[in-house]
Amino acid sequence: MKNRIKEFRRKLGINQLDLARKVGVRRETILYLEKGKYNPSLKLAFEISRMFDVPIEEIFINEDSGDDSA
Amino acid sequence: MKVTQANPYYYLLISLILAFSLYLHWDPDQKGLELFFTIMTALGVIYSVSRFYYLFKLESKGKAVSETKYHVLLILVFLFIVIIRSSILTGKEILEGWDYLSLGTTVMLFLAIAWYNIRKFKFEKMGLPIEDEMSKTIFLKAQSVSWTQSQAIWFLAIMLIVDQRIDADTALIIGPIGSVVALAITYLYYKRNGVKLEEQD
Repeated sequence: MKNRIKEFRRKLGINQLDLARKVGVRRETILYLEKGKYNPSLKLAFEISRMFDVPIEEIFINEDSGDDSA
Repeated sequence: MKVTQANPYYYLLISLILAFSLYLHWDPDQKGLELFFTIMTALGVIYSVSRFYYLFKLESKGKAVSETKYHVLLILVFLFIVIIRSSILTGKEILEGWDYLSLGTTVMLFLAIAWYNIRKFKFEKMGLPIEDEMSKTIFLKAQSVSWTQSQAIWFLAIMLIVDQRIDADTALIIGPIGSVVALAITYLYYKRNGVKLEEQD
């Protein structure tokens, strides 16, 4: 699972601590998410998506899934 | 006064530590300082059990539970008394396995609890939770992996008793300490490398 959290966070001009505060997790969790060392729960993924105001699939990319679009 | 979220099971753990200390050092002929320590430890048990019951009842009703620095400070004082009395006991008598275990475990737990609480208030000040889904996931993963390692350690200890290389008292020290060390190493490993439950790691 890849994600674009760092990219969206930089676009918004906030640091990891601010993002952590806004989504209610520790700064370490944001760090690990950005490094790809941890996959978030569905709840946290939605929180992050809501925070950046973009659809969840734009932030999180499942590398294993094939192209299902017909 | 800074108010932080309380965990009822934290008080259950404290009451077990204090009750264990009371059981280890119980002597009906105690006088002076030793009697004072016994009374303080007993008060600590009563306080932590009642606090656990109160917080557990609130939490089960879905109400917000909170605690202040004074609650935490009181618990640290009770634990400090346990350490002091353990030191006095081990200073008086010939050191035995149980004394080492009691003193070592209590000191380690005291330091861990003090460290946890300092961090808890620090995190609260920064507006961050001390525990979140990742920290809980890492701890759960470490617990599940170290459980298997603990089984191996206990099996080894039992085999050493069977072979008469060590006695039962030594095995009862190796077992718990081995389990704690296994948990600590596994926790540090997953803390460093991260956890992805849905993927092989």
